[in-house]
Amino acid sequence: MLSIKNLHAEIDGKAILRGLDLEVGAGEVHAIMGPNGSGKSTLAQLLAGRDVYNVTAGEVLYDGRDLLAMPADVRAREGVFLSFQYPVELPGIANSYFLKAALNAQRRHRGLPEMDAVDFLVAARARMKVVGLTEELLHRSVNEGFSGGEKKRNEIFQMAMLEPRLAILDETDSGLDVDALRTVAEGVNSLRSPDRSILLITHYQRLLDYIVPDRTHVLAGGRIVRSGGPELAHEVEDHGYKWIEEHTAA
Amino acid sequence: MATTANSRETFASDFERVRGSLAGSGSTWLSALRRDAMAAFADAGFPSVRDEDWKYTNILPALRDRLEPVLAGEVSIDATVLEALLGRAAGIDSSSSLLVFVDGCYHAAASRGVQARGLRLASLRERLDSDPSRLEPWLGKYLPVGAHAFTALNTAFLDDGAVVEIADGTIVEQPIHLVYVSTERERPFVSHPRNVIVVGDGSSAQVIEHYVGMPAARYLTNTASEIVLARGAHLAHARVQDESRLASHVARLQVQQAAGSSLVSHAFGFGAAISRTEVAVTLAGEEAECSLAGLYAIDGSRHVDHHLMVDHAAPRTRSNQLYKGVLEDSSRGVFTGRVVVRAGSQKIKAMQSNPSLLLGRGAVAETRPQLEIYADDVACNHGATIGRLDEDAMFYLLSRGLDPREARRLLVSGFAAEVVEGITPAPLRDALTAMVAVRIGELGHGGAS
Repeated sequence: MLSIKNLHAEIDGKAILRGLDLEVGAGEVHAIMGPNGSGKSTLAQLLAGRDVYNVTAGEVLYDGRDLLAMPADVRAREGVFLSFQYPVELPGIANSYFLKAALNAQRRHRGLPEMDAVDFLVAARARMKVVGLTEELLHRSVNEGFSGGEKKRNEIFQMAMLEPRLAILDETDSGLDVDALRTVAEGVNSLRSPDRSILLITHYQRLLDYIVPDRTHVLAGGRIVRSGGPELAHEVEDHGYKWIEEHTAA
Repeated sequence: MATTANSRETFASDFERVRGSLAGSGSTWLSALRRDAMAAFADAGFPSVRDEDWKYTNILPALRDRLEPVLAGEVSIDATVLEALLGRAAGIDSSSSLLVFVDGCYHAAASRGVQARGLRLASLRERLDSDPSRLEPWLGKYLPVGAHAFTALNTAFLDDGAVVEIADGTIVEQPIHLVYVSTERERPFVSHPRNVIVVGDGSSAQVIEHYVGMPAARYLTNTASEIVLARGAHLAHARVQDESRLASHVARLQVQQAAGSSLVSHAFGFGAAISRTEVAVTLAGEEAECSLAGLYAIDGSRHVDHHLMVDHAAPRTRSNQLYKGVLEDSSRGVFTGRVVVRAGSQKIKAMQSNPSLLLGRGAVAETRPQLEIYADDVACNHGATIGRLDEDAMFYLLSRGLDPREARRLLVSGFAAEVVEGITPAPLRDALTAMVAVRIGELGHGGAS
């Protein structure tokens, strides 16, 4: 599904990713853990198509196609979804209008008929319930005045509506209390499927207690320095990132 | 320096030629008003950028073509063309009252007055011909005739327009639409629509002025509306300037408010090569309040100027100004918000905000708050921001699959939404919201619709 080879990227002349390799198979959930500044968010944003990064070497294949050649909106319509670490507030744009426009842009791209207002509302209601959002938020401006938790739930709600094939969740756990974390994790788990891959990007291990990954990777200095199963997250939690880096054979 | 085919002498000789045909020409007070106006015009001449009030707007290009006056009986319009132009005017439905003017002259066949108790709706020409003395207390009473050349000319040449008279204690439910249509005449022309809107004690109404033109029409609309709100009256007023892109538009809204009255005003500026819209409000009685909102969105190398003046002439009066600008290509938007709080006018609240969004690389926004405060118990603030589209917001929309054009349109609509929100009733708000979305979608595409 996703194949990253020797990826190097920089911003304003500063190297952030330095030879990152990652293979994510269809239906797999991979966690990427790493300390602050390790390049986690750069990776997430770069995969989603943010154009502020300069890729200096390497390649990213999505279903065997060159992902980096596609503009952000095309990637989205091809099934790539990013749950933002800091979801953006869009004053004056109703959540429902925004999401319906996005959904129909994707459906048109896939040759599906556009969803009408009634079908949209039925689908939205069901999915909002799963992530514990009230319908009222559908009629408010996108993320405007939402609590931190509501913003994160809204991201997962969007993911549930857009049904991506590759979902990248950037620090979806940050700023959530335990109850909210559990709800969001249940939402994500309900979206696990054999043809959907998920990349969980997180600083802490606690999210991985609720969403158990197939593979866990530690990112440091712009490269994957350790890969393992779910137990790797506990090693990180017990010993810290520094220990992991020091105990990784160079 | 622009040369103009319209000198003072041209207007003076046109005036001499047509004065005998203008509405109410037999009435002494009106003849005196016209004469004074013509004298004021001869004195002042056209404003230039050396005048502080016109510093950022060179209006002379509006006068480059020889502009001929249009007399009643000299206009005609094809039914399909008229229908198309009326289609550009948002929010009109079969229950609305509608007065249509073609090249400044009342067009009875396309108009319809919905009968309502306490509402008298007619063309200015009809009122001046049948009962001229009735309008004497209002016409030219609050509008400073010699404010500048355009108010003077509008008064001298006044001939037609709408008179909306609402008796005391009357709630008019249905919006009243006034549509000013300009056609592609053989030669460039000028019209001077003059409107009078009087709302009685405790009464309320909604009036919408639409200015539209055929795509290749060359003209100047020089319009003025005099609005008088009696005690406790409420008026929701909107004006939509959606003129031909080759046209010029100069407008003055003059509002006089008695105690406890309220005005909710919306001004939209989408059309014309060059436009200047002035909104002047005198809050003459205690507890009078006005909310002045506006949205301008233009492209190309066009120019739009909104000039607001609020005079807090009584204690406990409140005003709010919210004007938003969207400027594409190398267009230029000017906003001036003048607030005067007179000595003795205590417990005043005056707010002003003018955010602009620059979409084009060569676009320019000028914003000028002018606060003159001669009282001490005053809550007053103003803010202006000039920015570009937010990159993070843009990426967020793209990351959900919206193409760049749709994402941009959505962001600009979101920026504009705050202005439209206050419009009532809901069907009118929805119609204007939809129109705003369409006009925003047209920006940067040569106005093709």
